[in-house]
Amino acid sequence: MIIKEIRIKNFRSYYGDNNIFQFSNGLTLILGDNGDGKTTFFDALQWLLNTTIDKGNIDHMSEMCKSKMEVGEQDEVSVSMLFEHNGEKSVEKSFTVERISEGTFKVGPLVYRGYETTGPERVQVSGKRLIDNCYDAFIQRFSMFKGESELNVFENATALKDLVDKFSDIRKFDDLVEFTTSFEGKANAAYLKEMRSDKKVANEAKALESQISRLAGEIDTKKGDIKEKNTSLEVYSKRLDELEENQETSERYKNLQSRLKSKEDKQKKLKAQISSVDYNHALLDKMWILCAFPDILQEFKQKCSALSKEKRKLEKDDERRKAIEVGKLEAVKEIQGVLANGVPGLPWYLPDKETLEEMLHDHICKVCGRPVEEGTDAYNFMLQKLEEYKRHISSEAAKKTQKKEIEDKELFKFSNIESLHNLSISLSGSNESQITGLIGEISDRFELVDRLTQDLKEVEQQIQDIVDEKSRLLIQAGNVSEAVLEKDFNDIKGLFEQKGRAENRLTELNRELGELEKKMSDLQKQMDALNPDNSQVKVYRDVYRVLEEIAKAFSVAKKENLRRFLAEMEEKANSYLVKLSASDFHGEIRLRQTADNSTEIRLYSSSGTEIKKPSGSQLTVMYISVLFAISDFTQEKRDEDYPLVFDAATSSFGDSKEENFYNVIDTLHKQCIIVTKDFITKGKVRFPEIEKLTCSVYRIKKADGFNTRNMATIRSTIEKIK
Amino acid sequence: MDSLYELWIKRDPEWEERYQDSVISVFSDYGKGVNKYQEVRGKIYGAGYEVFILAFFIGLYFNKTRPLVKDKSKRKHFGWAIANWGTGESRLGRTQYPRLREYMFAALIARTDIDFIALDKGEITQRKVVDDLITKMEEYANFGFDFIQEKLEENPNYFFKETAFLRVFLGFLNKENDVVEQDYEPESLD
Repeated sequence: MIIKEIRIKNFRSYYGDNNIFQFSNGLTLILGDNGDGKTTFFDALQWLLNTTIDKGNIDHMSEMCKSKMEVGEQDEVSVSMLFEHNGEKSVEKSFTVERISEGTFKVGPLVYRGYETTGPERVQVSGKRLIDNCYDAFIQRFSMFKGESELNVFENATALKDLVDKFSDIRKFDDLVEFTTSFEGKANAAYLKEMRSDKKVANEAKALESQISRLAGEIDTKKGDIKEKNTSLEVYSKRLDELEENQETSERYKNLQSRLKSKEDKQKKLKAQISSVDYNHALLDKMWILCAFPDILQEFKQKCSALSKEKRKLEKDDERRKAIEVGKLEAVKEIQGVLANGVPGLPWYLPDKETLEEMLHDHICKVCGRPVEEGTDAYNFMLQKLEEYKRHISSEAAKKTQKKEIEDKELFKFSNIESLHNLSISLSGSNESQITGLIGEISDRFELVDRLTQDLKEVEQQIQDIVDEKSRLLIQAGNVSEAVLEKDFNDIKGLFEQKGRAENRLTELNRELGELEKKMSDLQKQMDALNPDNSQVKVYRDVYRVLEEIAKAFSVAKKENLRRFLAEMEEKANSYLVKLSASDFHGEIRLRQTADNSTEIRLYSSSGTEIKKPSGSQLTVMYISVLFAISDFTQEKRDEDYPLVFDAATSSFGDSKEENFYNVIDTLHKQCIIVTKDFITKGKVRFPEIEKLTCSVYRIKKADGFNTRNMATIRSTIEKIK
Repeated sequence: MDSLYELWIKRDPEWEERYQDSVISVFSDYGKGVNKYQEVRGKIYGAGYEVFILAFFIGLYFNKTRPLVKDKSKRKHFGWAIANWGTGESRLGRTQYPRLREYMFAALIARTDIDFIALDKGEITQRKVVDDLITKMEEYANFGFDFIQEKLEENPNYFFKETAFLRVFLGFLNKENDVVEQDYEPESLD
């Protein structure tokens, strides 16, 4: 099938009936920038070719068309394609839209028509049937791709199987294998029946047959086990491969995570250290409010000390005054009596009161022994002496009282000054140095916080770096989530163990199967060695032998056919890979059969190691190569060619790779329609590069004068620039 | 006989009621009301007397007093004697600071004009002396409240930078009291 022309009418951004693309047999490029209508072109084509749609959709109608329609008016949305496929054919899909009121539209029924030219006649046919015949959904799946991500249709295991089934001759073999196997079975049954009925060997044959059938059952079970084990082994290997792909990433991720954690701990610690002192609270709790207090403390101390001094001075003065008064008292001395001849008499206390009273009573001086009569001088002297003694005693007592009175009189009744002075003393010394040291403490804290803040900034920068590195890592790792990386790291070990166990079990199973098969062949030999009486039995045996060989042959041929098909496709794909990659590294495509009979595509380096993580552009080239190979097959097997339509398939390509890629496709003689924004820089087409290509090139873009906020002003225009 | 200090800490100083909303409950949980400076912020201090202490020291370091309104009905007290100040704050991370009161007392002794000789002689009573100390204390704090209120009126965010109060007090160091205010400009919080 070759697409000749596509017309788009009122489909989304394609307003009006003048949107026509014409295509050659080779490459056609449709260039457009973002929003110019590239994907709309692709969607329109897909819409046209989708045979399952049976209703019109108002959303497909051009906004501009809708806005220009008056109430009561109607217009049409349609996409049509003219193509060559065993003669010229065309297909058109359309529906009408009528404006019923300001905001409501009525969508008419969908019309899907095809036209075939047979001889001179142009015949109308069903569009659905035409497309199902000429370009069915299966082919579409391998020939129309929107974006690079859709190219990986082969990652779906059944896609390649379907493809292989469709294009190889394996299907035909399936029937043959089935036939021959059933012949074999029937021949065997007939042969065994004859054996059983042969008189000579019947008993032995029966015994052998039952052994054989039991053994066959065991072998089947064993084979089933082996297949199952193989499948699970494959699952483990695949998962391990995936894990290994991520292993390095996983390890780096782990490492980054642990670095991040330690930095975050440090950050937390620094933050806690910085905020450990609340300045507002420290004013009170740490008494920082006293930072300006030392002067006042001095004032206080001086005042207390002065008061104390003054008080003490006053007290001392008072003491002195008291002493003087007491002294005065003391100073009042007794004038001692002087005797007749001028010599001093005895002190007042000699003789004492009792002696004097005794002598006066007895009227005799008991010192000199002379009598002393009452009224004599001597008697009077003694009387006077006694009086003096008594007076003295009482005056002494009075003086004592007086002195006590003086001494007892306190100047200060209270000791407030002393307690203030004590407070002042207690606030001196270590307490005072604490207060004067506050200013140092505060500035130390400021310095520390400055330093910590600096450290924190650094740590935060480091954290940011690690986080950035982590995001880069995750981006590089592709669609791998953090949780997967974390899990992978832990899973790898477990999977290795499981895989090891599965491998051991498989070896065991295979050994067991070998033994069973050996036994089986022994039994068969025994069976064959039986020499039946009836020669007819031998004929049956020979027929069975022949049919058995034939069945084996077909089974092998089926496998061989598949192998060849894959080898051939591999070769074709690799030849495209070489061409499309040009000077870039490309590796080698291998199509591999898996245990469940599906096929995988893998890229290998020439040294035989698998390239586990091909770059985006490598993958794209790989897939496109396989697609071209498939396209070749369709051409060979069905004698039909199909166009390949790509929408923005090469977004991972660099400029040089891109140019090379188009040059190669340009020379392939395969109809390719590529919608792309390559060759456009800042809204301008790079004509020098376009000039180098031989293909035709369309430029689509938004018609000038659109309003950036109004969809109804957008209209795609088409210009053939080459 | 109780010492002056022991008598002083039994007192519960007064302050002008108008500072309750404009200053005290801006910075402390006292009164617990919503006011124009404080809608969402956490309060800096717990008890109201903590703001009183700040105000007191501001007045003290400026060495400026401001008599309280004569009208007793326009005054309030915390109902919480000095004896309890700095001994009951239980918020996480806070420590108690009972010794600060000794310094406040010392400052009042240093700055109040009292004839201690006459006191010790018994010519005047302790009660009179403690009255004088408390009056001085209230007047210092009254000045401080006025200072804080003025700052807040100029810039409601003034004291909500963590170092703002501390800077005020550091500003008193080795400076003439008058130039303190122009000495620094707190950073804007915006």
